[in-house]
Amino acid sequence: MGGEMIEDADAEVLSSMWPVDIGNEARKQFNIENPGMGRDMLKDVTIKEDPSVVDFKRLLELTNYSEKGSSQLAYLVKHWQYKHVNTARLINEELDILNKQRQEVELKKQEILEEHQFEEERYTGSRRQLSVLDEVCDIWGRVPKRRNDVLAYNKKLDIDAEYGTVIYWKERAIQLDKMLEASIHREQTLMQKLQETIKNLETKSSPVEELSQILKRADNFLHFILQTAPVVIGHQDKELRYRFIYNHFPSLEGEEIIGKTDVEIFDGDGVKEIQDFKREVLERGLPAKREMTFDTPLFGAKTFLIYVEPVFSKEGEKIGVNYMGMDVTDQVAKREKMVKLREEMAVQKAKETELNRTIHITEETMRAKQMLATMSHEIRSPLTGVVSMAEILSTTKLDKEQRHLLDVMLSSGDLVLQLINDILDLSKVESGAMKLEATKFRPREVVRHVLQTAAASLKKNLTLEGHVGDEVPVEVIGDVLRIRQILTNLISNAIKFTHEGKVGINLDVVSEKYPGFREEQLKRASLIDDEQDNHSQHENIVWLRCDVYDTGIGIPEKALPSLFRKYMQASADHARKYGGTGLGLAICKQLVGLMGGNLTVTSQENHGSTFTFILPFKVLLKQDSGSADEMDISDGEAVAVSTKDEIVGSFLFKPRKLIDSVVRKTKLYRSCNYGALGTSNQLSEESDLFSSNYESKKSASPPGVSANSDARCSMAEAEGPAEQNCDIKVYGFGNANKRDEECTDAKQGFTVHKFDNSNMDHCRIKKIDQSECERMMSADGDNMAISDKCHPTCQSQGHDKENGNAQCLPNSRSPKILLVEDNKINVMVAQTMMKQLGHKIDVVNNGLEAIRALQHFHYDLILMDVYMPVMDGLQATRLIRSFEEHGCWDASVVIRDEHATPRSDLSPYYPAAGQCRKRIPIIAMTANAITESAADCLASGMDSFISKPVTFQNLRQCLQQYLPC
Amino acid sequence: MESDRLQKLYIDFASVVFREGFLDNQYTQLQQLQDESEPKFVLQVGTLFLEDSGKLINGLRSILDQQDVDFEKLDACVRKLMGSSASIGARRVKNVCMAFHNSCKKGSKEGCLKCLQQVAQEYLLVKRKLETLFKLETQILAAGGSVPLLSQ
Repeated sequence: MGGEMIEDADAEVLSSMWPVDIGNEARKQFNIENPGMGRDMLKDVTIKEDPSVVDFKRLLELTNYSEKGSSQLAYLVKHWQYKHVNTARLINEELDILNKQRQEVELKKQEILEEHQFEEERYTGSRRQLSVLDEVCDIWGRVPKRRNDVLAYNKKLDIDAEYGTVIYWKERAIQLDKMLEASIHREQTLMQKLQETIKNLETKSSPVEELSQILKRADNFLHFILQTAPVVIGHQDKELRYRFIYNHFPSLEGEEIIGKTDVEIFDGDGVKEIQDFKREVLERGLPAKREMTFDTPLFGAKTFLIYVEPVFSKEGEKIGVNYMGMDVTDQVAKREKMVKLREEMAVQKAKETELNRTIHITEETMRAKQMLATMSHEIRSPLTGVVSMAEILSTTKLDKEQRHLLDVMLSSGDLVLQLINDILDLSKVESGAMKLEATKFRPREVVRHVLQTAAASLKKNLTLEGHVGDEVPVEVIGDVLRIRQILTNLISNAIKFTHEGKVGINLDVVSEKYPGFREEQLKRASLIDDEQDNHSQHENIVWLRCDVYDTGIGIPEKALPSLFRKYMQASADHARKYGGTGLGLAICKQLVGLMGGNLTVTSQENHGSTFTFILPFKVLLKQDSGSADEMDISDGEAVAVSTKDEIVGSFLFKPRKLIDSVVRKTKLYRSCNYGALGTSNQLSEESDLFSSNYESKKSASPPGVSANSDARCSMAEAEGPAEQNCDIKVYGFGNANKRDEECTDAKQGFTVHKFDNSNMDHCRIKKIDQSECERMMSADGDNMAISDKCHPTCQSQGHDKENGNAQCLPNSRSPKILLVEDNKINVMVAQTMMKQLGHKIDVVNNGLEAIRALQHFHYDLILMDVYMPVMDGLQATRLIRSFEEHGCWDASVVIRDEHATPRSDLSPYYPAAGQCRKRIPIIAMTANAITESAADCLASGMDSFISKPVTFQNLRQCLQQYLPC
Repeated sequence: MESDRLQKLYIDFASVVFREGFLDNQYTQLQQLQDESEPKFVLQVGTLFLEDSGKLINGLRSILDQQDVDFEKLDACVRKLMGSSASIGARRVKNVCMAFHNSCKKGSKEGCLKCLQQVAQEYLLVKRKLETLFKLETQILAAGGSVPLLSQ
């Protein structure tokens, strides 16, 4: 029973710490020689079997001297001692018990013997059996019961014989003897066992063996744990020489490491740092962790998490460092990637926020601009009312002071109107709503016309001059309205800031490509219609450079940078002195930019400024223009005249006072009704510069005929070889605009004018008086109405033409306007307004009728209602534009037309393509002038729009803009 | 003088009409168009407007009376009325027409009926005003005066 207990005790002591032996595979990582199973490790230690691999002596020293090592040892010894003391105690206890039992058994034996003696005596004398038995039984009860199994000895004696008989007692004696024997035997066995145990204890349980066992288990455990772990464990002495290293990546043999420092072993990035780090830990005496990146030739770029702790001797001296490193390259890479990603995300997010803010701001700005535009539009309508009322007022009888006040009122009103128009223009450009047209135009005409217009309103003693280079094409394609706007703006600016000297325009071809040339810009600028691409093989790009120069006050250098900014003027002083909104140049700049060019300025203070812009234009190649020539080649004279017209490249406008006097004296001048209502002397040209040969040609032929030929040549838009024929410095009429050349020369000027006045009514293609109008209204959209009415007149016109009769000439004096409107009240109002403005208009009721009218007559301007029955204004405009482009009407329109007017004498007469191909300005009349519908109008090819109801002022502005004469 | 009194009456009445928004600046514009060559222009246009609008409103009513309302046709009529009223300066009629137009676009018969009622009412109101104005104008002209220009 004692043996069992000893085993229990044994198990209790050694159960917890280490796992059972787990075999000895994969030990190579340890640079320690593995002490084989069951070998005494300490023996090996003393023998120093592998000094080269591990500095065992050092390890022993370490365990002996370092605090950690000694405490470890002390613990182990203590443990062992405790175990043995415990075992000894248990054994002694057991011994005590056994001894006691033996004593008792002997005592019993003696008692029994005595009893037996007594029995024999009793045999003779007294009998006390029962008490003895009781006592016997009690003996066992007094034995200390340590274990239950001891109770086995208490079992009752089983005796068959009757109590009290001799047999009984004999049996009992025998049994007790047996028991005694068994007891003695057990005692002996126990003694034997005890001896054995003591012997075993002496041989087996030496502390060294225990220790080595423990160490072995620890060793195995470490191997088990570390065999695949990416760690390096090492110990270095205080000189940081390796004394021990375990390396999962054994790229070096142990011999190359032990006894060396990091620096001696490796080279590369991070080696010195780790050495320093270890030294630092050693010096500070505190453990530390750090992540270090190495890049050594030996194992490449790797990142290690290094833990270094100092090792102290028992005396507390530092004797070295333990260090542990774990390869965290992948983790670091991942982490860095994460960080990077996070950073990128943060950046992305920041960008997004920024973008959102920008978008928000942009939206706000757009909204603000939209608001401004809307506001401006809203302001414009009532303002025009004010200004037009003032204008009307100025025609009434006023005294001097009233007139003065009214003048101020008018000029202020005009200024505000100008400002609002500028704002609207700017917002149009900025919002991208500004669409550029691509139309044929003649640059010379534009320059001339701009100068003429400027000269007309010139109040200063200035000379206006223009020069167009010979190589500038006769016709180019671009947005003539915008170019005219830019030129007008620049010229009026120049005039404003010039008090004496001259203001002029130079137009030349730039031979080399404009340096800032950008293809897409050009595309955007000039290829508004995709259809235009189809023709692009017949077109060349020409870059025109336009200088607008003056001899004015100039611009100080410091003001140049802000010159093109909105609402900026050279200085506040200028603004006071010269007025203006500061928007003009900004608009010019934007417009030029929109067309793919650039606007620059050079200036010298007090000497003048030059604004220069370079723009790309498309040019039709010769074969195209040649075909245009052919159409009218029959009219030889016209061609000849027109060729001369085309190449005139210089214009000069002297101060008007001078001209006026000349005009009055000589009466030999050419008047042009450039002014609003054809007052003949509003603009004139120098008579002395009047071309003599031109004059002679004119005078040689009857006036009517020559005028007619002029008119026809203009219709033809003929283009010929550039023939220099220019002592004509001033040329008062051109043929880009039909009316221009029909502003006739001096000899006919007055006649025609008078003629116009007197015969106008007879010559009108369609005259609509009140009653006729009403009659037409009552026809209520009858398609035939207009064609019926048109027919006879048209015929007569054709007849006139054939005969070269000048009868129809006066028509050309005043522009022909077509009103397309279905609402008779609107018609009535518009008509009356036009009448007041000095125009008579033709009226048709829907888009289809408008096209019919166009098929028979030429119009200079169409006012088109958008919403109409049968065919709306947008569709009609598209058809008209398509005709202008391709020279033929859409099939649907033609067929319907022939059905409607089946007369054979009419059908063949379709106007010459050249005549109608000129782009007719079409003005929409919209019920709501909000941007969307305006955009629709512009998209359909309309040039502008008037919001309904039409007002006097609206109409007047529109006529001024689109009928520049 | 009779014409002076009439003129004053005319101005007073017209200013009320203007203030209440029955007519706007456009009417003034029409007046300005009236001169020796067109002495009865406003009267002519106005009469035409009243006749035309009366017919149009009847037309609107008959379209709306039908089981299936042809909103496109209705809208065309409304647009026409809107254009006429804008041209003559009958602002309140025009404003109702705009609402009417929106109802047409939405295809709301209920809205259209409501607008029709309103437009008919406004039409009657402006008709009365215009007729009064025309009567006064005729009287002024008859008395040898000239119709005073109106401003808002």
